[in-house]
Amino acid sequence: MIKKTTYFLSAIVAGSLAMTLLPSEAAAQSMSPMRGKVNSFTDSFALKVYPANPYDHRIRIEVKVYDQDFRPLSDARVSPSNFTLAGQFARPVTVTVPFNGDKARRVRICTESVPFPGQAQNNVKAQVCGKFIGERVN
Amino acid sequence: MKKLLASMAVAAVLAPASAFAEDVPFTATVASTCGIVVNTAGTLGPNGDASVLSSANGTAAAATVTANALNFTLSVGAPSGWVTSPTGTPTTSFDAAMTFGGTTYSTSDTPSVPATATPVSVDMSATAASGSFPNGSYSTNATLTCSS
Repeated sequence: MIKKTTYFLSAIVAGSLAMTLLPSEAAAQSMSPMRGKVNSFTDSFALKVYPANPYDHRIRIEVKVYDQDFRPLSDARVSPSNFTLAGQFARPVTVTVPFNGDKARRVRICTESVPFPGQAQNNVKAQVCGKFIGERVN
Repeated sequence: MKKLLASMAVAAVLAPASAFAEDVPFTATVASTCGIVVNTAGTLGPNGDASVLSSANGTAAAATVTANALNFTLSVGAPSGWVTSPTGTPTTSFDAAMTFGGTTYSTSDTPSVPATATPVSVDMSATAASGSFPNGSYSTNATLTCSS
């Protein structure tokens, strides 16, 4: 419980440092922002991205975290990671990534959606990936 | 008393309506972004012996990629498997390609995205490792990735 609370507080502190990453406008884009740098005093860094649904219909969106070479990061936390989003809307998603002892960590955060699921044989999954750097200050 | 009133009247006339004028600055920042809108999904059609299902025998999917900067790349990924397929579907290998600006790119290419709205067509093919595809409904997803 204590560990969980500490982790949560670390995420909040790190998240407050990510305020510069907040977009001025997120509508009509698949994800915003798409680049950013976060300084953190804790063992992890957090940032907020805004996946958006540019369609008029509701779609399912997944937010995933990869390393620089698009290998999935199992230790990153995404909240929420899988959700449906109404047409023309955007919503915030919080991503927390531990440093794992490293001084800095580069990650790719991707918003993925299949806008017409099950309707065709040759469908397209749209994937928009931003590049982010977390740096440990202390 | 009269002198005092006269002095005040003169002072009121000489007083400026506004003493200072300052500029009020405004700034703005537009972040670089890339977005993908899939306009239409595609279809796969069989070849003569139904050993290959491809958009060449069906229709390509159409998407629009919109970027406002030149620091984005686009790539296409082939599916790793069928999302839905009938019983008895043979082991399948997939390939995908995308075309924009008059050039076709394979899954190993990562061209830069023009800083404008760009129409992209996505083609795909599925090849049976042996035999032919049984009758039934198939669906799968190629992946179009815009990354910074």
